Amino acid sequence: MPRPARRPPSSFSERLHHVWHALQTEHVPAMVLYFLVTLVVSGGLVYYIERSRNEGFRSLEDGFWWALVTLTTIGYGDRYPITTTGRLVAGVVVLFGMGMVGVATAKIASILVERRIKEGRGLSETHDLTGHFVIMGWKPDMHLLVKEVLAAHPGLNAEHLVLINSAGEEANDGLRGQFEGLRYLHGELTDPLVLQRANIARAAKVFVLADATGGRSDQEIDARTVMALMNIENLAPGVYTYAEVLDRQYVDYLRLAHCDEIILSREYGRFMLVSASASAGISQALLELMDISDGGGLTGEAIPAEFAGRTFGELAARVKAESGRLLIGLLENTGQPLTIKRKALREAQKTANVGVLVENLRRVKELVANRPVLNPGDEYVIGTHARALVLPRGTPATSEAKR
Amino acid sequence: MNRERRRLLDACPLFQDLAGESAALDDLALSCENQRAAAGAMVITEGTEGDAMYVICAGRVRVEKHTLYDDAYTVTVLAGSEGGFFGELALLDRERRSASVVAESDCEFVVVSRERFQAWGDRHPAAGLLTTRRIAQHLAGRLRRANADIITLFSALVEELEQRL
Repeated sequence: MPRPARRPPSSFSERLHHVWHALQTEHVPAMVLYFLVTLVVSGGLVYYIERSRNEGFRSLEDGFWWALVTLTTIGYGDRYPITTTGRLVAGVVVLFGMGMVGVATAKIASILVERRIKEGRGLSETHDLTGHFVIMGWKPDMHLLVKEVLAAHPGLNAEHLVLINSAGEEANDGLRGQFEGLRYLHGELTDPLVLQRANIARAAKVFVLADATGGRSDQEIDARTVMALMNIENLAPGVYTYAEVLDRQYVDYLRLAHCDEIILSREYGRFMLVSASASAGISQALLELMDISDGGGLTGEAIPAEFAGRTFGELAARVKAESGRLLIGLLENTGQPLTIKRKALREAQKTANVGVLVENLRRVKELVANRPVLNPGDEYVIGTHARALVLPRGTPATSEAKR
Repeated sequence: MNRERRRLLDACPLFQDLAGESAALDDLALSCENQRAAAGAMVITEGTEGDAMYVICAGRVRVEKHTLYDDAYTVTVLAGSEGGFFGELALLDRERRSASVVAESDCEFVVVSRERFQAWGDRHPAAGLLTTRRIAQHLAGRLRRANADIITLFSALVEELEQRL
């Protein structure tokens, strides 16, 4: 029985290992070692030379303290050698100290500058992130998209947002200036290496946009989206994926690549146009349904556990009585599709009747995660992993009819 | 005590053909042992070797199996009032138990071990034959159900493969 491999958590020791690796490539541990050896040797030497003639060097501690103050070029002058031999040694220590401080300062500066440049060019890595949101691809109105994504996810801040695109440094710099902490990785959507740099296996959600930069044809854009999804499925099978497609033909390919949600943005736009022409005002109503700012619009929310197994009618009555809101439907089997399916598979096996077992397994196979069920009728029974689709009560400010 | 056991064996479906074999039933009643189990106790554990059959005198038991993920599920519930018995396969061969049995309430059983059952059959060949036949009928029923299950699984598998061709 193949068991799913569990993703290891990004532990503290793992992150420590990353820092250690970075320091080692810059020879920092070796430099610290040199410094300590020089400090102990020169401090001990000067103490040994001066101790009988100099009030300032009464113990070995005084020697080490003097070496530390001198090597770092601080030079308090609270104690100093007075013998010729002591002063000769001190001269060497001073020269050594100047060199060492110079090298250390340069090193720190270069590490900082290099990181800056890498971040700017989108070459950094995001190994420290878990549960992040990755947006792949570029849109002309990217700043609005990012802003609205952040607004739609309370609790998600820009530091947990990673952009992957090939729009270039200038375009992304503008965004990074607007959203503090936003990460940007330069790369093609189809490149698996950039996915690894984004630590995709530990991401929570990935959104693949239909990226029209570079004058590609619609078919080419959608084909690249499918390739990106296949890479994601390969590297991070548990991550929830959304993809925007232009051509309906590619929906089947995306399903094959286990895309969890497919957004036919162009079709939505066309649908709005057609419905507006068919009945006046409906496009306004649809827009309000979709606009989730200011607590309006259609939202999905958790259903109290005691309602699992009870009917839609009971829940609708409860929602209405409690807050005057309207229950318009349900989302069945919500959550991480892989987890949901695994759970369902476990449950399906708990029968001695093989006919029932086969039927159960078939149902697991056909289980569609996050399936919307709109206005199913009062007698519809609510599943265990359902969420409620709720429309808030219109406030006087938003319903002009009342005025 | 013996009278009570005798009454119980009379009621058990396995021995229903032995109405004319009163002496044999008396002898069998003597070969049995009584056993009790508190509610929640494990009477038989899946996978262990078994060598006795249990006839329920009083109480209820749950027959339990485990899925591939090691989750327990209930196969059936047997009660003394319905002449329930279990573990009859152990009278025929020395094999591992195919399911666990857990007492759902305080239970009382009459237990027949394989050795004693076989010795009893040697002493009363006619009664032994009738009883073995009864067990064989039980097994035949199960085998037919198992065959039907295999066909169900087989056709589901073929159907699944057909979709992938």
